[in-house]
Amino acid sequence: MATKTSQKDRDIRSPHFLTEEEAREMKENLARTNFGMSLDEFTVAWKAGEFDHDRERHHKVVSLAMMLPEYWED
Amino acid sequence: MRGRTSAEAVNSYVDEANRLVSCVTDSIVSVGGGYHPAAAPLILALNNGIVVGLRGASGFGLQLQQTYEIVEPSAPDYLWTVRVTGYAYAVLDAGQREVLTYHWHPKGNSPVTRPHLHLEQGAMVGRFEVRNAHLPTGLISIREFLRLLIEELTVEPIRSDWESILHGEFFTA
Repeated sequence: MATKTSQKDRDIRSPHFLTEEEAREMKENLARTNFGMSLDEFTVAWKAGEFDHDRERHHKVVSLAMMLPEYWED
Repeated sequence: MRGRTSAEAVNSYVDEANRLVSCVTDSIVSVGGGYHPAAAPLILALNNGIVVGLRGASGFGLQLQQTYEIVEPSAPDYLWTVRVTGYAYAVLDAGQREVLTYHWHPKGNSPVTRPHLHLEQGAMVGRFEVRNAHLPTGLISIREFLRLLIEELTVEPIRSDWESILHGEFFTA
């Protein structure tokens, strides 16, 4: 498959290692953008099962929930 | 991904994921958690979890993240390992509707913990049963997912050497 760019080896920007604060900010931003609530509010709602039947937002729920330490607790 | 130190293993994994996504986007992956084994898996997310636009007539967008854990060697001569523990990948249409989502969420509230595919609203599947089904899959690597985008879903790569980068079958990143 041809590409529009002819660059063979485009410079790859380095990955970013988030600080704890940046990681929290990323999750907070996703909670507010996708659910219109804070991360803490999302966490409480998710733990209470409020999104369990939300088929429309299932991907968004799963994506954010997997970022929570609580998700991985037994 | 393996390494003689935890940092080497993590860097190999993250660099590889970043190299793979460079085939379709200038956005980078971010990771949180550093180089030490943690109680909960760590996150790798493209563009901080925000959808990135892709080249191609379809106008698709991409959202991609994995979770991983750092595994300490069980014997002195063994290597540190980064093991993927879950993922959520999505293809979205130009209107930001999800088209396909590949999930592996082994914990949480969903009863389906094995890897699966959803045909979402943007796939325009008429049958309710199919639209709501968790269609079983094997584990889908970032590599396989990106190849699907380019080879089947008309996404245009932004590197001419994408084939050599996305070549390979192993489930690492």
